[in-house]
Amino acid sequence: MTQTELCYLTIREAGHLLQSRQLSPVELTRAFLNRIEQLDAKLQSYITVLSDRAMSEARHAEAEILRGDYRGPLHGIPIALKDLYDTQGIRTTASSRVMANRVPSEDATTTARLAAAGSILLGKLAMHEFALGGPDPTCGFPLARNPWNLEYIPGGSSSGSGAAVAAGLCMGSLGSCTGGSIRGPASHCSIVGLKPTYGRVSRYGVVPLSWTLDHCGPMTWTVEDTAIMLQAIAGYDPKDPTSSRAPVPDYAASLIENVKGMTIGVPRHFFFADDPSIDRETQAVVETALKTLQEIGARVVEVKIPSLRYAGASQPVIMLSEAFAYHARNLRSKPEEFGDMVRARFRTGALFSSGEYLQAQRVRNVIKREFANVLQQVDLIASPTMSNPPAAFQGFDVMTTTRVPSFTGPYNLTGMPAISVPCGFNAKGLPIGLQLAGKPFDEPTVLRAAYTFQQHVRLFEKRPPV
Amino acid sequence: MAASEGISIDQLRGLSERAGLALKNEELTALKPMFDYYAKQIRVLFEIELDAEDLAVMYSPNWDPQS
Repeated sequence: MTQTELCYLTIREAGHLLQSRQLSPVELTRAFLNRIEQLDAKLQSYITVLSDRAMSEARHAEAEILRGDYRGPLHGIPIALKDLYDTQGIRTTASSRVMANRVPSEDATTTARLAAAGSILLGKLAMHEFALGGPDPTCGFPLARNPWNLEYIPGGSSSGSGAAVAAGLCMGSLGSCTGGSIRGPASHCSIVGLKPTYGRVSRYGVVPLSWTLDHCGPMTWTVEDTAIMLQAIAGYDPKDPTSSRAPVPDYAASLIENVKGMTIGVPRHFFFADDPSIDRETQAVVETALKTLQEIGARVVEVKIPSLRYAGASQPVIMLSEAFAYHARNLRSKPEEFGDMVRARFRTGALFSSGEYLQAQRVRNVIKREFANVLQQVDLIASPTMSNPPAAFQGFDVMTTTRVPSFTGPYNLTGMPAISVPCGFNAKGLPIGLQLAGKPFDEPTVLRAAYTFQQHVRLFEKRPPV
Repeated sequence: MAASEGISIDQLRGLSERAGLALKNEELTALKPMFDYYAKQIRVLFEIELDAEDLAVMYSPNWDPQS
């Protein structure tokens, strides 16, 4: 197998080869490190590459597998983490000068769980500063590029995760998501990104942005791989006060290629509104995806969720207020260490009143209630993942992106699981994602529908031209 | 903030000082478009009819004093 073929294997495919000893973790890890060396100068998806450590882990995994101690589908699989997941003894920066020299003394729970599953950590990935700012050249860290077109952003805030998975620079990654930071880059890079239910995956040891909105989740090339990574990281963590004790199902068992009998609701009044700030081409591509879901057996119906119109106001007020509470001391004492974009947005969070924050939380409850009512009639809710295709670096303006409707933020408010699965490309060759959201803790249904759709349209066969 | 149509720089300075941020005039000027955008958004949040039971924060009476 060539280096490219090795790096384009899915986690599932590589796992079979590793388990059957047809492939060595050392050979696989070396292929990824070589590819990073060759391509990442232009993609800028990594902040830190852990070459020596990764090769050492690979040799250890190889020895374990050879002596029959195979740990499971992530054993020997090279992955990388968004650089806000704490890694013991490895610098974790959140892409900010504020944390430029921060070396955690302990792993995040998710970091530790992926290590326990036998994965190989290739490095730490670029991101928007503190998971919010945007592609800000003043933050002092690399700005990941979109592998489908280097002139465009890969989305954010898990920008490096989106770019690296799409370009075959790691087999899977963890992103974090407060308003769409997993699903956005997944959509813009034509990969799969899952924001699990709030409380499903521990956030212990992950630099926070907004405690009531933050989620951690996998970003991979296929839905099957997302299920594998979710299985490794899901479950109760006593170190995270928001962690759920709900039992963890077997996610691989949910990957049945069948959506017959599934009812999918579409709130057209919001996601397909006649609004000039929503991209028509994106809507058209997702309409085709909805037709495909119908053709393969799902029932697609229109639903109404009137309070969705308030989500765009509620989510940022909560997010920025909570972000200011976390960053207040540094914003007051060393504002020059923040990049321009994130500093301005965090400062805005300082200016909301307590009444406004609380009203946003009250409205959030109304939104949750309306979704709950609709989810009694449907299994899933579908929409475009993003209201617009990726923006170009040239002329990027944070206010322009702030003004476009967020199609992902509502699910951070409700805490529902939501996935982005690739569904097509626009005329410029930029990817478009389909978003499917489900009932709390019903990741199996979300995964099943996304898996069925992905197996049918087979966009995973098309890699970016890097 | 909710009632502001376009906040003045002096008003913005007052709000930011209250938050413990000492901002220069050019920083306040740069912040104003984002503040004005969110101020307009926030007004919408107060238009919605909410019940007294629509709580913002809930505390469980079943908390465990040992935890």
